[in-house]
Amino acid sequence: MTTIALKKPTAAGRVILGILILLAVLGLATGIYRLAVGLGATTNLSDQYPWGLWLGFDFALIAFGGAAFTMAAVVHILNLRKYEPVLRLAVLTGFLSYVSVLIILVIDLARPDRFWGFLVFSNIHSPLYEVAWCIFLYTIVLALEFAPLLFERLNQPRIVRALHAAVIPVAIAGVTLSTLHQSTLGTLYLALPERVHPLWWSSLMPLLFFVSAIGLGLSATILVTLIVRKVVGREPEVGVLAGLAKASVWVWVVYLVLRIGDLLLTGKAGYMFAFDTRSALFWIEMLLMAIAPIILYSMPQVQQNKSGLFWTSLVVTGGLFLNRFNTLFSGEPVLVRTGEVEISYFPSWIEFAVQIGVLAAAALALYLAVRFLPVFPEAKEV
Amino acid sequence: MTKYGVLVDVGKCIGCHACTAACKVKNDTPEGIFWTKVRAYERGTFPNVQVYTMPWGRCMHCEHPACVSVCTVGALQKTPSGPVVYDAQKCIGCRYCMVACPFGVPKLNWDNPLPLIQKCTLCADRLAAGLEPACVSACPTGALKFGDRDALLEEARGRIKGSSYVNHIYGENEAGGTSLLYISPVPFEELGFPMPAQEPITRASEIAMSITPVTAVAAVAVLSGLYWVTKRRSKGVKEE
Repeated sequence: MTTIALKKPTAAGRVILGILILLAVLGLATGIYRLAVGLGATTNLSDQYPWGLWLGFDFALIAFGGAAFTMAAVVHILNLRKYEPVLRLAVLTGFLSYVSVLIILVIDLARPDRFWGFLVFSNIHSPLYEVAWCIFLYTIVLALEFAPLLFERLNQPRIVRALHAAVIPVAIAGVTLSTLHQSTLGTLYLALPERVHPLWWSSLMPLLFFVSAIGLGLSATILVTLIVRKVVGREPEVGVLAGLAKASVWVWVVYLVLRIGDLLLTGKAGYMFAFDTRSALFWIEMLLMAIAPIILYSMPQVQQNKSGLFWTSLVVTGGLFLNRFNTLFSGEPVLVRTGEVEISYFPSWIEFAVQIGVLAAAALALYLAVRFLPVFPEAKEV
Repeated sequence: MTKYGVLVDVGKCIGCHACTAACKVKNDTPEGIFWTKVRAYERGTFPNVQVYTMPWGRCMHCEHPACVSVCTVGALQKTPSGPVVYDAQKCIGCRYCMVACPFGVPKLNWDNPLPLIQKCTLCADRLAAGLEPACVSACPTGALKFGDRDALLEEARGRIKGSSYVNHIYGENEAGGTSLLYISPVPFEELGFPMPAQEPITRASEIAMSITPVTAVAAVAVLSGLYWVTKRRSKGVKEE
């Protein structure tokens, strides 16, 4: 059977794995505690800030998981076989991102005992209803795209062949579902014109969320590929990553034109140059998420350089996380705006513990998958 | 069918809290949770102070409720007779209604490990029995008046005309119109009322949601087409 001769974890590596395990266990413990005593006792959420760290992270992680649908489209739909070497890792990234999202979503619900409600009750006007269904179905798609790795390892060639036969319909279903829910996460905010700050609220939000998910999908693929390759001690295929970087330049150009153009055409230029906290956050977000990749990914010195690709991809990831958090927190709750309630929100340590714990568990799962599953196509050569 | 409303006259309220107590007793709301409150507003400086009180923090029972539009499982519903009701059995606690409401109405009893959304239901069960909401029945001054929404609008215009009241019926068009209608001798902004747009809040999201099926079909079609074209092209290259 094909196994990979991985570098044994160094002492430093073992320490990191140990820390991740500790964080995951802490997350599990605090998560169970939250389920036992409720949100009021464990979070700093309030009537004015009912959505906090967990949902903010979820919305950002969903975009990070866009690595899977972006690469599935590139390889299977557009038939660009050159990028096949990074596809499995992109699918794995997506699968782990979405499973993390689902866990946090259930923990965040005020009634986790009723998490199945959306399967039985419906509201076709609700963006969250559509998002719930799409995430549910898409996680199944991701499992089907991930399954060949598992069954190759378990030496089940017939199941693997069956899965491969379905790869195109599954890919089309996955990209369709992703198109729907990545854009509907933007639609979610269309319903909140009083809650979202004018610099972020736009009638184009569905399109902006979709485009930025593709952009982050490309950077997430680059980032995870570089990190994993470094950990297992194998050279990444820089030429492939350079291609992804170059493509994402155009994605961010489209995003920037749409976003800035919409702000100008709707008379919001004043907000951009108001020299207040919001405008500062806006420009930092634009710089990290869109302007940095357009400039840096266009440079051959960055495209062909592991370090340049790594740092630029990290910056884009940070920028997009900032964008999702800005959209969520930029505006003022109505009762704070009218002065009736004076309250702010900062996550409690339990909110941090659960979130970090889930991310640590995902990182551990990634490590185990890379260690024991044929994630790399050249695994056969060992 | 009658569309009900409640006319709230800020000038008539004496701040007795009978409405608060009646609602609390009738609905047995959790400790610290009130589905209707009374707000006091002081205008001027001592000794020339005027105090205004008003029923406050109540569900406005909007004509096009944002909460109903966004509720993930449809637990919140607008009834034809006016009240926006809440099915506690369906609620999954996603709290979308809380961020969506332009009046900041829905609350949560956070202390309970299994909480539910808390808001006025306009005593829908009392209405079904031909009674008025508990708060309206308890009000000694008639600051709360229950009836047909259109008739109440007419009455409100009548009370405003020739008086020192602000020439605006709060709720006539706010958020697309609400069942709760306020009239007041003091400007609403000064009293601290939220000032939402004069149109339904969730128009944009509902339009976007309505094109979901078309988007899904179009996506499948475009992706299938792209696959077919790129497959043919690569086959062509292989055969050469």
